[in-house]
Amino acid sequence: MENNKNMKNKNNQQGKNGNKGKKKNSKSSFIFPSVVVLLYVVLYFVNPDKTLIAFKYSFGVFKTVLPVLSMVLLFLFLFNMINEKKLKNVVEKSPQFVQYLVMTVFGTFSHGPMYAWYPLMKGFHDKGISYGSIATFLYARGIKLAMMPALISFFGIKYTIVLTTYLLIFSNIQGIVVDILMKDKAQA
Amino acid sequence: MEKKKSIKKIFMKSLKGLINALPMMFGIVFLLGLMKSFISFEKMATIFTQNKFIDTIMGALLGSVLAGSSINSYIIGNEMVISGISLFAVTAFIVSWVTVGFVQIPAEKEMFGVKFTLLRNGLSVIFAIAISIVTVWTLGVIS
Repeated sequence: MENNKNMKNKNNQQGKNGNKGKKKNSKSSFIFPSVVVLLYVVLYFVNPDKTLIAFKYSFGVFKTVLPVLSMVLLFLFLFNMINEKKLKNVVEKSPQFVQYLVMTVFGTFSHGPMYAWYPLMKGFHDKGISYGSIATFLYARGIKLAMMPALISFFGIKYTIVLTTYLLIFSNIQGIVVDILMKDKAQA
Repeated sequence: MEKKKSIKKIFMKSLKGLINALPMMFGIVFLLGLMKSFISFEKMATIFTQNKFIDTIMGALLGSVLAGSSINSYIIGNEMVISGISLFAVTAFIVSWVTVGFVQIPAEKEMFGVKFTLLRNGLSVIFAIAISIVTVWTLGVIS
């Protein structure tokens, strides 16, 4: 309940700040990539070979990320189709631990880099999903189902089962701790 | 007709949300490339001291700084075990590799704010250490 009150206040605040905040966000989101581009330019003069290797590697990574982004776009689209008011009602009524469990499962089955999922998670939060649940999702992403055979071959099946079990448990603990601490900070 | 319009509107909204996040992703991916090319793992591995406690913390911090496919962390972790680094440190390294992202902090901060970003990443480092301790302890009990 407290979460939802905070949400409403936050939404009102966002509404008041309106376009100012959006403009500030869009400007600041270009600062970091600009700094990286600048780094490339500077490092190219220091060590052109290594900088070119870095560029080729990054370009390769970017190509592998693209299919994941199309999946994220699909999830974003499906999530945006959900009626905001209805979802808020469901979120309000469902116990917090159900949110944690759902996000744990979702995080476990998601794949690709963590940052590719940030837009969807932001959409989740804007629609009333708590910060703790988002933290749970991001932590549960540490469980890599597709990579499990590799983990087993390097460290054995016992190690894999024990580690995966603890990752599942700790992803929920992190959600709880984040929600408690974020709530305290919001109240202070 | 009305439904088609609203579906198109929702799709455009979703696409816009994703496009807004692209500059940050671009920055992260290209910063990762620089790290991979300019910082060698061999140099980084010299930070381990053979002291289990300090090495566990070092493992968690090193895994937080490095990023990329999780299979790389398994390969490096396996090399660490072979070279005599404790399983505590290796586990903390593998866990923080996939759960913490120091390189991703600017993008995360942009999306969720400073408080959440610092809290989540800070907790993830602490939890990586905790998971390494309970994992190795559990393996010791069941073996």
